[in-house]
Amino acid sequence: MKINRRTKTIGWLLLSAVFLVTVTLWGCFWREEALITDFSRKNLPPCREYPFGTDFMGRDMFVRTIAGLSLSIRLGILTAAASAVFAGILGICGAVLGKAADSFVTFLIDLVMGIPHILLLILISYACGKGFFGVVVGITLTHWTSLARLLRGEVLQLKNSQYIQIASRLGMGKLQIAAKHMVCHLLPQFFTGLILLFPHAILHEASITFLGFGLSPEDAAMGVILSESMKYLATGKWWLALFPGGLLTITVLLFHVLGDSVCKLLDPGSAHE
Amino acid sequence: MKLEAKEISFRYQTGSRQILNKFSLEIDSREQVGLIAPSGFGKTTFCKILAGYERPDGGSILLDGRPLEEFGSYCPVQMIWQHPELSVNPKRRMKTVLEEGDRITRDIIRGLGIEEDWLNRFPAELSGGELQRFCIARALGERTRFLLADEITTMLDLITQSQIWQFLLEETRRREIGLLVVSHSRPLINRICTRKVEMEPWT
Amino acid sequence: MEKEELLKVDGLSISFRQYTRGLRQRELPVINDLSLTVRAGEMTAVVGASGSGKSLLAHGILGILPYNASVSGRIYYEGRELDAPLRRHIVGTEVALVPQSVSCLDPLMQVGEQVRNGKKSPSARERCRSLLNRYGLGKEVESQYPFELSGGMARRVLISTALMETPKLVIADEPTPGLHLAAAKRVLGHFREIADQGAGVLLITHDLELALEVADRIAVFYAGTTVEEMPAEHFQKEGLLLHPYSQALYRAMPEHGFQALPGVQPYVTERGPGCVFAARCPHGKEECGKTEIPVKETAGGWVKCLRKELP
Repeated sequence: MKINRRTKTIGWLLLSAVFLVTVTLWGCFWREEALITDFSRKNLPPCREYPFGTDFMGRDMFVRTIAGLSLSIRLGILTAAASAVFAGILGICGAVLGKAADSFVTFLIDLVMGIPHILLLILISYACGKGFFGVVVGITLTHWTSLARLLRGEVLQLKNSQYIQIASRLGMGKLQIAAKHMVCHLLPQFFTGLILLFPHAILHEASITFLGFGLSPEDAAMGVILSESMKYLATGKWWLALFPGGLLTITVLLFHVLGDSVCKLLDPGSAHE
Repeated sequence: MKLEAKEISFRYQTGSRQILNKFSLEIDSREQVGLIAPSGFGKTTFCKILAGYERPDGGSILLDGRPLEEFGSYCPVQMIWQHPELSVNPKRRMKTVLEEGDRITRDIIRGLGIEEDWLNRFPAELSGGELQRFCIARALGERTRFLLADEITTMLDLITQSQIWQFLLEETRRREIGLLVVSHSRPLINRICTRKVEMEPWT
Repeated sequence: MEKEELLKVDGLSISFRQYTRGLRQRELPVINDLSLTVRAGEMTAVVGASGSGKSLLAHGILGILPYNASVSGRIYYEGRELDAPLRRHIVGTEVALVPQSVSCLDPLMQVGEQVRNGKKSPSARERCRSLLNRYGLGKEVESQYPFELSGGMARRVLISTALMETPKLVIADEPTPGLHLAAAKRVLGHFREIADQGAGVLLITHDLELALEVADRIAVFYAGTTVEEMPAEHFQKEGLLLHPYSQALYRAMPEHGFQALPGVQPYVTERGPGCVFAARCPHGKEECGKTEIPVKETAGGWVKCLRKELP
C-alpha cells in the first residue's frame, strides 16, 4: 500500500503521543529515585551505567531528567488546559454577550499581550508565592490571549453566517444554536489551540524556574536542573546541560508535531493530499 | 391573511446609501407576487426586512394587522435565500437541516424529490439544486404563512427549476401560503405569478 | 465555410483524489469524457447546472487545477497538443481567462496598473486607456481601487485585463452572476464583440437563455460530460435538438411549457459507464446505462446517444 499523507500524519501523531505518555508515566514512577544522592558516584561523565552522567551530589542525571520532564509535561497539561478553558470562556463571552462585554474582553487581551510575557509571568508567580501554585496561576493567566482572540473571531463570524441567522428565524434559541451550530466549528480550533499551548507552557515553566521565580530548588524540575548545571558548565561538566536541554527541546518539538498533526487532520483545506 | 409592508425605509449604516425609501407592498396569502428590479435596488434587503432579519429605519411590517414580533420565535414569514450552500451548516448532516424549525412532513420531503440517502450526507456531497430542496423544505413548517423566494432557482438548471416551482406552487396554493417571488427572469414570473410588482428607482 | 478550429477538447476527464473514511482514498471523476470545440471568431457556450464541475473545465485547459486532481484526455490548441511547455507559452498572452469572481482583482492595486499588468511603456498605457474607454470606463477609473467600482464596472475591468495582450482565445467562467438582466446582457455583448473581432470565446455558464442570445454554438453539459454540441439556432425548434436531455431542457423553459422531468443529476459516485442521462431518459433502454456511447456526427455538431431514429 502506498503511504498517503493522512497515514503519515497519523504515524507522527501516534509516535509523539507514545513518547510523551511514556516519559510522563515513567517520570512519575521515578519521583523518589531522582532525589537519591550518593557521593561515591559524583561528577561522573556519561557511561553505560549512567547514560546522562551524574551531578555534583551524585544524582543520576538520566533519572532526574525524566522526572523533570514528567513534571514539566504534567504541569504543561494542567496550565494549558486551564488556560484554554479560560480562553474559551472569555472569547465566547466577548462574542456573545454584547458590545460592553466584547470591549472588556478585547481590552483584557490587549492588556495581557501588551506586557512582555516573561515579565508578567514573573510578577504573577512571585505575587502568588512562587512554587507550583505560583507557576500554574502565572502561566494560566498569561497564555490564554491568542486562543481567546481566535475563538472570539470565529464566534463573531459564525454569528453573521447565513445559516445561523436562518436558524434563529426558525425559532431556535441562542443556547440551541450555540450547541448545535457553533460547537462543531469551535471544538477543532479549541483542541488544536490547546495542544499548541503545551510547548509554550513547558518552556515558560522551565524559564521562570531557571530564573528562580518558579518551582522550588528541591523539585526535580527542568528549570532547576538547567540552572544548577550552569554553575558547573565552566568546569567542563558539559553533560549536565546538554542532555536535559536536548531532551527538553525534543519534547517541545514533539508537542508541536502533535498539534500540527491534529490540525492537519481536522483542517479540510489540506485534507486530501 | 395579509402581509403588509408600510413605507419601509432602510440604509445599512448612517451616512451610507439609502437602499429603500418608503417602499410599500401588500401580499395576500392566496396570491403569488413577482418582484422585479435591477440588482442593487434592495430586493434582498427588502426580503430580509419582511422576514424579520433586519429592522427597517422607518415604516412597519404587519401580518394580519399585528407587528411581526408578536408572533413568537418562529417567524411566520420565511425566506429562502439565493445561495443554498451558505444556508446550511457545512459541518452537519442534511437530516439536521430538517429538524431546525417545525417538523417537516413526509409529503413535503417526497414532493421535493429529496431522497432517503441524502439525509446522511454532508452539504459538500450534494449539488446546489439538491441543497436548495432542503432549504425549501425547511422553510415550509406548519406555522409558515408567507414564503419569500429570493432568486432561489437562479443558479439551477432549467429542469430543476421547473421541478422546484411546480412543487412550490402546488404546496403554497393548497396551504394558502402567500408567495413573493424575486427573480430577474420575466418568463418565469409571467409563468408562476398572479401579480407583478416592479421596484422603481426612488431617486 | 468552416472556420479554423482554435481549441479542441477531446475526451477530457478530471478526477480528484479524496479520503473517504479513515485512511482510504478514492478517485472522484468530476469531469468525464468531455469534448467541445471553439473556432476562431465564434463563441461556444458550455451550459450546465452550477456545481456540476463546469469551472474545472476552464481550470483544466489553463492547467491551474488543485494538487489532488489528475487529468486525462487531449486538448488541442491550433492543432497542436496543449502540453505544459505550450501552455507556458500561451497562457496569459494568447489565452486569457475572465474569472468568475470579481474578488480576483487585487484590492490594493489601482485599476490601470492591474489592466496593464505592471507594464509601464507608453504603448501599454495607450492600449489600457483605449480598452477601458471601449467599455465606457473613463480616465478617472484608472486611478481607482477595486472597492470603488460597482459590480458591473469590476466585470468590465476584468474583461479589459484579459484583453490587454490581444488574446486569440478568451475563456469566460460564469461572467454574469450577481448582475441584473440588462447588465448581464451588456457583459455578454462585450464577449460577442470579442468573437466578432476574430478571437475565439469559450463561455461557461448556467444560464441557457442568456447563452442562446449571444453564442454561436452550444455544448450541453450534464453530470460531468457534454452530451451534445450544436449550433445555437437549433434551440429555436425542439425537433432540431437530438439528445433527450437537450429536449428536456427546451421543454423546461418557462416560455416552452415549463415541463419538469422527475429525478436529479446522478452524483459523481453514482454514474455508470454508459449514458449519464439514462436513468431519467424517456427513450432510455437498458443498454444505455451499460455500454459506452459513441459520438455521432450530425449536421453542425455531434451527439452522444444510442437512439436509432437520429438522422
